[in-house]
Amino acid sequence: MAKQQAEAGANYIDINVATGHGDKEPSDMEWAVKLIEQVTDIPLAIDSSSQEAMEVGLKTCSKQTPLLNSVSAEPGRLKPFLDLAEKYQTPAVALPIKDSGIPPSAEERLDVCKLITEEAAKRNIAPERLYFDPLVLPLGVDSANPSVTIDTIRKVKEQITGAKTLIGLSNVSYGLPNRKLLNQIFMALCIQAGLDAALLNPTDRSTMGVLKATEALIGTDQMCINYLKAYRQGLLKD
Amino acid sequence: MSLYEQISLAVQKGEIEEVGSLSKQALEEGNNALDVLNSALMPGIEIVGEKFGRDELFIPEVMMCAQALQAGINTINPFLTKEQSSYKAKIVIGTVANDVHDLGKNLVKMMFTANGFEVIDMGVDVSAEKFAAALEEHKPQVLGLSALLTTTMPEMSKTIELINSKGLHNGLQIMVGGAPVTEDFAKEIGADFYADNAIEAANTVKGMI
Repeated sequence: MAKQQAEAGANYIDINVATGHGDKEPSDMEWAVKLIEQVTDIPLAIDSSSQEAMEVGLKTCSKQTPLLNSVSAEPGRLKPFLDLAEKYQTPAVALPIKDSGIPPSAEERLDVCKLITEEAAKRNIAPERLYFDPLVLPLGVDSANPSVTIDTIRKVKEQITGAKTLIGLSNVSYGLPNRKLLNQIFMALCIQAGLDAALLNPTDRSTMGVLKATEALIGTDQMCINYLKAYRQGLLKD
Repeated sequence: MSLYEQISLAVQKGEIEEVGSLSKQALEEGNNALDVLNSALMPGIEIVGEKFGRDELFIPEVMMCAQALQAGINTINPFLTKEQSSYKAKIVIGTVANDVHDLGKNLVKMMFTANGFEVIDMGVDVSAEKFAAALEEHKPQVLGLSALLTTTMPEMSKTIELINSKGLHNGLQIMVGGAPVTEDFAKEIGADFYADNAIEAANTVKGMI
């Protein structure tokens, strides 16, 4: 699977081995990192909420600098994880979640992003190394949810110079029919607001097509070079 | 169509105001409040639950239906005697300590409400002690624990241990759920049942009562 995803154009491969039996997670993480590094040279994203598994994962990566996924402002999740990003010189995914949960408004999410940026700066981690995930809650639960995500992307890009943004795509369509349609159009709207990266299935050619087409349409893909390149590689599908 | 059928249909369509006004009309016509509940409102919401399970209705629609049911219950509640509680069972629900994720828990809560259960929502980051205190205060038939992080799953185990040690597990069914939680894990920590999703949670509780 990792091989297929690499060939399809993934920039990172996310590794999450959590099962709830916390004691096994660090050794499972070590096993997975070693195994995947045997089949691909693509950088890995170490995805864990356990500090110990995170450190083992980062330490084990031998080919490329991994991505730390993720730090947040939740109890125990901010300083220790930023310390690891400092120690292993990695970029990090940052979530605007705090003690009381996911802030409902874009303004409050931006405030948490700023707080994480400040803590990161104390460790010489520049905003360029932070990928803010504005958090995507299902449209089906509240019609305002996608707009809050889009507004958060826009505010982070405007107010935290250099910071990157990233989203997990599929959550937005949870509980609704024809999910792919919603996912793809939501992604296009987020890209227009300044989204830099998305977690998606790169072997899904129609979603990759929407990504390339959106970048061409909003003018970030100058002279449609990447769009045409993807076309010649057979990565686009109507 | 009878008035009861109209009420049931209005619940199924999520017509909040109509459910309220039709329920009021039913009472004015001399119908017994408990009968309106059991023969009009509940049959409506049960059909909603079934349709949700078959992907014929979707979350936003179910939320509207749950609100419509609530409008009906609010209308008839003052006319029910204390013994005729409008709810089939009482459920205490919450996300465990150090975990602030509430989306899944809220969906489960919605499905419980839509199935006519009384839900006491403790919110997020709820300690074992707070859960135990809520059990003593509310005496529910069911306790629902949610965790979204592998690092907070052990809190479920801690909570159940405390409940057992206080002798509060007697007559109480404990259910656990959340993205990383599995059936095996539920068994291991001594939970009574596990639900994979909100609809399964509601169906399991319905089956118990």
